Amino acid sequence: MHRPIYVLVSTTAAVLAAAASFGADDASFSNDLKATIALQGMPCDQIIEAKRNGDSDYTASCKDGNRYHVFVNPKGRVVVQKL
Amino acid sequence: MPRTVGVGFLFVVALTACGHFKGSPSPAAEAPARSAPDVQLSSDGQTAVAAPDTLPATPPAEPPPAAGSPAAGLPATGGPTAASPPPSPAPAPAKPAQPQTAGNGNPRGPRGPGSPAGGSSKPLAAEQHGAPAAAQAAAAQPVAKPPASPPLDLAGLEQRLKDTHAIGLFTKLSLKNQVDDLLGAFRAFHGGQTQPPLADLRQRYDLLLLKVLTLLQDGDPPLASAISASREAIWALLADRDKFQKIQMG
Repeated sequence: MHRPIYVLVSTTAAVLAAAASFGADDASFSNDLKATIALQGMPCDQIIEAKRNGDSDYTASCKDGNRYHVFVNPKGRVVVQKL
Repeated sequence: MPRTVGVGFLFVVALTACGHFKGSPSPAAEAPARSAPDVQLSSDGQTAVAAPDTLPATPPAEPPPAAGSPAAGLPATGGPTAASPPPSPAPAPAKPAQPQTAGNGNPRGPRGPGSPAGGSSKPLAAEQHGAPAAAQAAAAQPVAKPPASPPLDLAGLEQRLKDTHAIGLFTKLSLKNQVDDLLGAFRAFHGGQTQPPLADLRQRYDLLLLKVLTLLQDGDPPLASAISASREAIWALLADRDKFQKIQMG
């Protein structure tokens, strides 16, 4: 009787932990994108959405309405294009 | 008659004995006399404060009179006189002692103020000597700092920058691009191809370092401080042609 409850609680805890970890990674990546955009001298107060287009290719939407295409070109340079 | 004479003789003897007995009570009276001086001291002192001061002084002073009590006859009359001298000397030291405290401005002035003043004078002297010492130390520190910067571990800093989690992957790559751009500018400067003013290179170098420090100061403060401490040493490597070429070769 108690065993199903234990399994359910454990599963829920694992899912929540994974979600939290994913959220942390997501926040970390958002900060990475934000710093990258800032290093290129472009404004972005906060990343509200980051869409992955491919390997090292992202479209970032900032809270202030700016949108950027951030990617690594074949020469290995990080490029930030304002959309 | 003979009885009357005998009784009278006995009476005279008794009186004599009584008179002689008064001499013995005098020692007994000495005891009150001893306490009397104490009482007198308290009364003579009129300053109850003097009594306690004199009390300790009188006991040692009185034992000799008590020893000198052999002059038992004196105590009766001498008791007060003898007691008066102890009180007078005792109050004398006691009173002078307090006046000394009041007038101690001179004697204790050196002591009280002496300790403070002496202490202050010593500190003053120490400060006077300390000021130049501090100035010398301050002058010596800047001299000591330049040698402290030379220990530059460029490879170590590079590895720490690669390993730090304070900067994300995209940001690291972007920083590397900018570092490569700046190194290219230095290469052109030292190669003589183009002549960007060294001040311009210095400005770009400072700006790039500022970016790196901004990214590191929250996530990896030790690395940020290490890089900040190595700022001039790295610039010396970049600005000097020979050192820069050695870096490029390495």
